[in-house]
Amino acid sequence: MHSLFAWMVPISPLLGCIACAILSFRGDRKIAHLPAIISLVFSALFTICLMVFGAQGESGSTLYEGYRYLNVGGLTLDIALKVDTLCLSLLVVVTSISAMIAIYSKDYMHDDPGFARYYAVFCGFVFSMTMLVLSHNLLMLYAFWEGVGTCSYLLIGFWFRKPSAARAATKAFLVNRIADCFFLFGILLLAYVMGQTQGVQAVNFFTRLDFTNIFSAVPLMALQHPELLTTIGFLLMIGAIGKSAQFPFHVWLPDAMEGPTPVSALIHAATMVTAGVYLMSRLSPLMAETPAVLSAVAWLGGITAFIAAWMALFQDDLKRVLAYSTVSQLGYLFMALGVGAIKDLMVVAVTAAMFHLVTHAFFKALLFLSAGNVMHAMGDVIDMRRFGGLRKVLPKTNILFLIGAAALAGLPPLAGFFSKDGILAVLADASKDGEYGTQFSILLGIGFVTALLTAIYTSRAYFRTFLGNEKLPEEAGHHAHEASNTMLSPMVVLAIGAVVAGLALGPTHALGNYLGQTPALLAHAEHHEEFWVMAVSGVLAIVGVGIGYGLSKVGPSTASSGAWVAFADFGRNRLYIDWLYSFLIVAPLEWFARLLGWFDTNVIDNFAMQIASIPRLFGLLGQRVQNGRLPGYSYITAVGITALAVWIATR
Amino acid sequence: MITPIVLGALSYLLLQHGVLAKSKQMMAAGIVVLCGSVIFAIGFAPSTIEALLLMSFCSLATAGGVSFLVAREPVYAALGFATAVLSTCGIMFMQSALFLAAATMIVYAGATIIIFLFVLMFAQQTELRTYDVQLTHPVIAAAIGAVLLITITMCVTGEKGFKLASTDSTRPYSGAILPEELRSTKADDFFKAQSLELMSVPGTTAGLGRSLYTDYLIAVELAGAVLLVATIGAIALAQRPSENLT
Amino acid sequence: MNDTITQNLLVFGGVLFCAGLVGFLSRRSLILMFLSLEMMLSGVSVNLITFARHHQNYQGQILAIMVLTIAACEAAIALALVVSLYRRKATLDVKAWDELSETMPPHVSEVPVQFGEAAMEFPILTPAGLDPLVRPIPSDFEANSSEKADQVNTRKHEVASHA
Repeated sequence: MHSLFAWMVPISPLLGCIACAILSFRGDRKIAHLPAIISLVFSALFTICLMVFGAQGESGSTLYEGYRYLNVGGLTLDIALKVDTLCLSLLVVVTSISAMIAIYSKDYMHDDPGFARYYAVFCGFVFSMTMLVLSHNLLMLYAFWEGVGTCSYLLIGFWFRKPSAARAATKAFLVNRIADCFFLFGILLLAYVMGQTQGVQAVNFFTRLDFTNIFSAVPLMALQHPELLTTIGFLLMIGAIGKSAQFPFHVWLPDAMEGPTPVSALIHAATMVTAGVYLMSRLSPLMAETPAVLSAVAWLGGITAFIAAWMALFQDDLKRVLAYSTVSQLGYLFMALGVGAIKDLMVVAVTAAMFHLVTHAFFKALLFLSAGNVMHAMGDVIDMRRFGGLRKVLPKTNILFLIGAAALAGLPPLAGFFSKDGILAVLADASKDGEYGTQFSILLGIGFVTALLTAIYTSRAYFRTFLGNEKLPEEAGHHAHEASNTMLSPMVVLAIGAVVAGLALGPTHALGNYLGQTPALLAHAEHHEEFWVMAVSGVLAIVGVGIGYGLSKVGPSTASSGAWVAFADFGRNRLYIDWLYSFLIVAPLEWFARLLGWFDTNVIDNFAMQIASIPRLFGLLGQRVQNGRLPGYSYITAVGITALAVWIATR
Repeated sequence: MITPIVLGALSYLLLQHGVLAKSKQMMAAGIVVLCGSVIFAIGFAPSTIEALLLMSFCSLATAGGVSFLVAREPVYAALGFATAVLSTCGIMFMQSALFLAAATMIVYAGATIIIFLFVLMFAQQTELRTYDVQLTHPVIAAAIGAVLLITITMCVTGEKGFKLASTDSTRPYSGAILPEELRSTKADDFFKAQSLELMSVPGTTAGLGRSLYTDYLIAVELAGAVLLVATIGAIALAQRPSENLT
Repeated sequence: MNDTITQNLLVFGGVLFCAGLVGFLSRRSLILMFLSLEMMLSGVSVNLITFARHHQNYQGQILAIMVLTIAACEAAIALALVVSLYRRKATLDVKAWDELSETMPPHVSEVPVQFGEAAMEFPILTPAGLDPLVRPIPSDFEANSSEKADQVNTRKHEVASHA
């Protein structure tokens, strides 16, 4: 029974994907939403059933066998699902938000010619994501990691005829690719080192990468090859960073806003970007042996959170603000995970990260869908400078966006307050530690500053969009009305989640206990409630809202002092990181590609054409000889006869 | 042997240029060189009448051939050709190919040259055209001809040349001496004796006829067929194309 | 009949043959070319007669008769051909018949492929589903903007659904 449910969770989106793909080929795109929504709703229901019925079993983790994918020589690769509470908590989030967004996008994308294709790739994405979460083997996780990346590429570049969209999709895929290269190196190195470690039972290459095998081998590896283990940890971390858009690899996420807004809501707010966090959580037993990696993770998370908040402060595009906000919140998650560098706080760290992940998924998806409502109403204009004061035009969206923004800013008692506070509390705990204390106290400071900035930019975005004088762009036309119920009802569900989830999961330690059933996270260390952290974060949120209100009144041109101008300029131009990448990496590669192109055209093609012109040369020679003129032929004949006669005579 | 030929050629050139350039000195020089060449040639005169006749016929044929090659007017070339063919007939007479000589004279020098002259008259323009006067690559052609001639000469004469086989007298009904059994048959003795005698003399027409109609009967029939086909073909090819082309 | 005369006559036959060859190679008038062919044939006849006399049989003479016959047939047909060729082009020049020869084609260098910054031009297609006769393509249609195309498509579908 549990096995059936467990397998239906990924299989039903797969069936939906196939059905939508068939519909897209047939051209019946009007009904393409039906298989998709039905399959996703079923998937969500099955996940909830799995959670309710405790499919993870008594041991905390159950393996549901699938089928043998590969059996070559001694190498076997199985497809199987491993269910434990860590999976299930993320899986509930993924499937329910996917179902909500699928219902939403029925109306949002209803007049797009690629309707069926959208749903096909959407379901494909959900299939890959659920398989990723449920995978029992690191290699299988990597395979579905790539699958998720591919579906993201297809969805970002959904309107592929728009050059900016195609470029954004390519950029996302390539940046992920670079990170995934390192990830793959890490995986291979891990398998190799496991083979070299003594005491690890010799299994074949693929089975070695089962999570259970990895976790049982990690203590031995930490004893025998500590430096290699640290290297492996770094490489795996880079994979997580690429997918979750942390500091060096964050450049793809803002550009990924070229895709449709439901896609941004699903992939780049709630699900795909959390895959990196999931990976780190999953590998926490391995990471626990490499505290250097985890402290690097924390620093990267902190840097990312801060600079993303800086950049979000000065964007004019509503979706870009939300994108940078996502990057910033993911930075928070990584900061929380990094606390695991201190051995005792590992479990708490993972718990805090997963809590913030769940709440962030809800309110960020809500925010993106509200932005989608705005965009739909404004005729695909999302530049905040061109519209304003939409509270009369979009009253319900106003309220929903307000809920989401308040949750993001961390206003009590909404969900964001509890989860962000959870992270800050963990950081405060970590700052008391001896070895990493100063590091984490600096990060705590960065966390507070970023919380302030978060509140500022969120409220600024809200006030500019919904309050103030009403101004509509001319593309709005007849679109400027409230969204339909089909679009609003999923958002209401998400709003409920954003409000309630914080209270439900945080102070009651429900999530902590639930996650504690996972075998890898067995010890649940008590951590003290730091009320001062809670108070400071609450105050910062309210102060930030006020500053944001003030900033939204003030236009961008009243900057006076030089430092402020530089600050704003850097923020608006994304800290010139994109420019740096294009200067250092993209331009040399393009130059190299041009060089190779020149080489190919002029040298290799030339060579081939010279070879091709040899028969032509022979033809030209033959052309001279065979010209139909009788004297020529008779000369040739006479010369031949004479030569023959001479040869006979001189033998 | 070479000297008279060279002197003869020189005299010819001088005479021709003398005629063209109307120069008395050149004509005189030409005549003098001609006499010199004749005197030289007399020194090489062959002894027997037969050899003399042969030599004169050969010279005449060669002169005809050369004049055929270098003549400007096509009719002069045809005349040179006729001279060459008639001299060849003379040679054939001397080789006891009597029928063949006569046939050559009638068919070749008679019919063929007349046809050529008719067509020349038909197709010839009033004045000389380029294609009559100009030769295509004469030097190369002369070189090829010279090489071939030298090769033939080397093959035929000299120590490297092939040894002429001895006479082959085993062919039946040849002009050779008949085998014994045929000489002593009784039936049709008179006729046979006469014919035998006739046939024993090599080179008679009767013997040729006999050999033709017994050994080479099929060839004769085929030759007749070829002649018929050629007649029909010539008539068909030379027809005027019809005016209305459908 | 000694060997000397045979040899001399063979050489003489060769002389006639070579003279005919030279004439055939170098003459430009069709008739004179055929005439030199005949001279070659007469050289061959002399050769055959000489061998007949040398071997004291009739083989050579008979073959010479055959040669003569064939030469006559060939002359007839050849001159018939010359007459019809003359009717074609009103000239006896053999160089006039060179229509099979080609002048050298000019060497066309291939245009080098442009790559690099040059903007690639894609063909601009009407959006799928539109019949240009029923709905003319709007003047502000841009092939790059799929959103506008989607809007145009939408209107068509609305029209179709209302119809």
